[in-house]
Amino acid sequence: MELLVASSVGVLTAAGIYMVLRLRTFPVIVGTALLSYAVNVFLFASGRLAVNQPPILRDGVSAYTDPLPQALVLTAIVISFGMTAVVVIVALGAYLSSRDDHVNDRPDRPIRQDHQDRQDHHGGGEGAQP
Amino acid sequence: MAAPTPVSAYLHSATMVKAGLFLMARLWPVLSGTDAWFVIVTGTGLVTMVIAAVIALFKNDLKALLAFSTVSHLGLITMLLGTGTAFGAMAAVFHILNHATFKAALFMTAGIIDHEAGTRDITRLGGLRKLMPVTFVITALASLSMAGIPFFNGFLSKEMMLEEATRTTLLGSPLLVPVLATVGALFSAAYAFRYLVHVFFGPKREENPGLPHDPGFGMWGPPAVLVAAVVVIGVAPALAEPLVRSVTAAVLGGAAPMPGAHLRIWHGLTPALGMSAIAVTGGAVLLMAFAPLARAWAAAGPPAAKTIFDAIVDGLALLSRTITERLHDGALTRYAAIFSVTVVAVAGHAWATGAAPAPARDMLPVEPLPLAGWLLLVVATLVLVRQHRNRFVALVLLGVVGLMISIGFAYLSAPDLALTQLSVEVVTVILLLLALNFLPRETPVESPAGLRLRDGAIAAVVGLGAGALVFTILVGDFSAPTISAYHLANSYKGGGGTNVVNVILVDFRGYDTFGEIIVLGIAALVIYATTEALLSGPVRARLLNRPVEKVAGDAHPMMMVVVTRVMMPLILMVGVYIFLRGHNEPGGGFIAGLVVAIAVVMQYMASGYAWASARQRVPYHGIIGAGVLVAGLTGIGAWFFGAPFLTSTFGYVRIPPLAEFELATAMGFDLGVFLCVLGAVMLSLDSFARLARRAGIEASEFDIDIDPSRDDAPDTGKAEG
Repeated sequence: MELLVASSVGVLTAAGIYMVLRLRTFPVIVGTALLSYAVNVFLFASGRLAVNQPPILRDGVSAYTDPLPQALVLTAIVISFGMTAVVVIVALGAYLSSRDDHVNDRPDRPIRQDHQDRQDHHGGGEGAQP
Repeated sequence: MAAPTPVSAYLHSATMVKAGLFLMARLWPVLSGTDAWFVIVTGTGLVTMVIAAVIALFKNDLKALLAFSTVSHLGLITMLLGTGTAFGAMAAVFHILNHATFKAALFMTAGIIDHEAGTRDITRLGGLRKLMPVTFVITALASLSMAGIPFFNGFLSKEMMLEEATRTTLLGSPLLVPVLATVGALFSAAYAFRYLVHVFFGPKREENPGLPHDPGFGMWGPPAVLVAAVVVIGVAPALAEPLVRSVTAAVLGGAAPMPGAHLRIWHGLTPALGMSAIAVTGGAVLLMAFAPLARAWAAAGPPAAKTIFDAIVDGLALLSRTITERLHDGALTRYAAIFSVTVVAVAGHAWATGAAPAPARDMLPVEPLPLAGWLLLVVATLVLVRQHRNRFVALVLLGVVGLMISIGFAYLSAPDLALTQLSVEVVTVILLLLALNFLPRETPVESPAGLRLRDGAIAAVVGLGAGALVFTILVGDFSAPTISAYHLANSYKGGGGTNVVNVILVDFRGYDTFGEIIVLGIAALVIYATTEALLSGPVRARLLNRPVEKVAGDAHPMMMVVVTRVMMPLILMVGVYIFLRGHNEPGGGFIAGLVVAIAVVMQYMASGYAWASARQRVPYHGIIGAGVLVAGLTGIGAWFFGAPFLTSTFGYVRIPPLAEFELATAMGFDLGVFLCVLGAVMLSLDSFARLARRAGIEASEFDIDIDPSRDDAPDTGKAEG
C-alpha cells in the first residue's frame, strides 16, 4: 500500500511539473491542480497510513490514525480551491484583455496565425515580422 | 587629506582610524583563536601593512606619505590582534599608544612645514635642517621612532611585533609571516628615513616662497610634548607598562592570562633583533636607491585602488547581468524549470550526504480494490498528460484523478478529507468549465520535441524524487513523538467532540482556521474585484460582441430544472445535518459549506443565472463577512469569561421533546467557517458566471421556461420530433 501511495504522489508530481512547464495558461492551471493533489496526499501521508482507523473516538477502540495531518490537509484542500480560482481569473483576465493566453512574456515572439484579430488591433506593423 | 593638519593628526593617528581596531579588540575575547578569525584578520593585516608601506614610500605629498604609513601601521596592529595570543594583544595595545604619539607629532610637523615653506611636496623641499632646527629635532625624533630605531618607543612595539611574527604560522608556512613583517618594517623604515632626509637634508631650495623658519612655541609646543613621550617611553618603557597592562587586560577580557613579558629595550640577541636590523639597514639602502626606484615605480604605473575597485565592480555587474538575463528573461516557464531543477539538486545533495532513516514499519498489504483505484489514478494522469491539448478531456480526467484521491482518503481512514475532496472537486470542475467558456478549447502544439523531452525529463526526475521521499517517510518511523496523541486524548475531554479532525480545526487549531477562512474570503473578493475591473473596461464590449455559439437543445431543460428544485431543500437538509454532526462524526463547517454551495450552483446551472440571481437576496460578500464576524465574535466571547481568544466550552442541553444533545461554542465558530466557505465559493463562481452574461437575457417572467400546463408556452424554436 505504501508503494502505491508513494508512486501516486510521484506520478502526480511528475505530471504536474510537466503541465506547469507548458506554454499556455490552461495546462499550467491543470498542472498546479495536479501538484495540489500531490502535495495534499504528501502531507496526509506524513501521518503514516492506516486502514479502518478513522480518528473518530469510539468506546473500546484504542488505535486511531494520526488526526493532525488530516486537519491540516482539509483546510489545504479548501484553500487550494481558492488559489485555483484566483489563478483562473488572472489567466482569464489576461486572455480577455490581450487575446493571448501565453504564460511567458516574450515580446520577440512572432505573431501567431490564430491571433489574427490581434493584428487588426495593432495595424499592419506587426504583420511585417517573420 | 583636505583637512587642516591638526585635524588630520587627530583623525589619522589617534581616534577615527582606531575605531575599527577598538572593535576588533573588543571582539578579541570571543573570536580570537578561531581559524577564520586568524586567517582573515592576520592575513588582511599583513597584506595591508606591506602594500601600504610600499605605497607610502613613493608618495610625494607629506600628508599622503603619513596617511599611507598610518594604513600600514593599522595593518600591523590588525595583524597582531589576529594572531590570537595574549602577547600579540599586548603588542597591539602598546603599538596603538606609540603610533598615536609619533604619528600625531609627524602630522603636526607636516603642518608646520606646509605653513612655513608653502608646500608639502617632498620633491620641492630640502635643506630645512638649518632653517628650522627645532622642527628638525622634533621630526627627527618622531620619524626615527617610526623607523624603529632603538631608544624610541616605535622600536619597542615593532620588536614585539617581529617577535610575535616569528611565532606565527600562516597557511602552513612558518616563514611567511616573519618575512612579510620584515618587508613591511623595511619599507616603513625607508619612508620614515625619506621623510626626514628628503625634507631636512640636501641642498636648500631657492624656489621656496619666503624663507622658512621655525614657528612660534604655539605651533611646535604640541608636537614637542608628544615627542617627549616618544623618548621617555623609548628609554624607560616600564613607565608605560601599567597603562599597557590595564588596557591589555580589558582586551583579553579574562579569556586569556596576562602575558608575563615586560616592556624592555634589551631582550638579548633574538631573531626579532636581527629582523629589526635587516629592516633598518634595508630601509637605508632603499632610500639611497630611491631615485631609480621612484622612476621604476612611476614607469610601472601601479594601479590606483579606485581603478581596481571600479574594474571589480564593473566585472561583477557584468557577470550578474549576464546571469540574470540568462535566468530571468521574462519566461515564467523557464523560472519553473530552474526552480524544479534547483529543488531536485538540493534534495539530491541532502539525500547523498544525509542519513535516511531505516525502514521500521511493516507495509500494509495491497488489496485488489485499492490497486484498481491506483491503476485508475495513474492511467488517468498519464492519459491527461498525453491528451492535455484537448482541454475538455483534460478536465474530465482531472475529475477522475480527484475522485480517486477522495476514495483513497476514505480508504485510508480519512472520511473528512474524502468528503471535502469530493465536494471541492465538484466546484473546481464547475469553475474550470466556466473558465473554458472563454478560453480556447485546444492547446496548440508550440514547443519543439526537444523542449518537451527536456520538460519530461525534469518532470520525471522530480516525480521520482517526490515518490522516493514519500516512500522513505512512509516506511520510516517518526523521528520525534508527535503531538497527535495529545489531540486524541483531549479531543473529547477538552473539546467535547469525538471527531478529532473537526475538534482540531475548530478548537485546538482554531486560530489557524480563523486565518484560513479569512484568506479564502480574500481570494473570493480578489476574484470579484478582478471581474468588476474586467467588466468595466474594454473587455466588456468584446464579451458582449462575441459570436453566439450553438447551444445543444434547451438552455434550461425542464427535467433538470424540476429535479434540481426538488432536490434543493433535500440538499440543504443534508448540509445542515453534515454541519450539526461535524463535531462528533465526519462533517463540519467546511464540508457543509461546500455542499450547500453545490446546491445553490445547481440552481444556477439548471435555471440560468438570471433566474437564480433574481431569487438570491443576500449578497455573497455579506455571507463571507458574516462568517468572519461570527467566527471572530465566538472567539471574542471567551474574553468575557476571562479566557484567551477562541477558548471553547461545551455543555449538554435537553429541550423536552428532543433527546439530550450537546452544544459547544466551537459550533458557533464552525458556523462562521460554514458561512465563509459558502460565501467564498459562491462569490467566485458567481463572478465567473457574470462574465458570461450577455445583454438582453433577462429573467423569464415564469418560474420555468417550459411548462406543459401553461397554454402560452413560449416558442423554444425547436420543433417537436
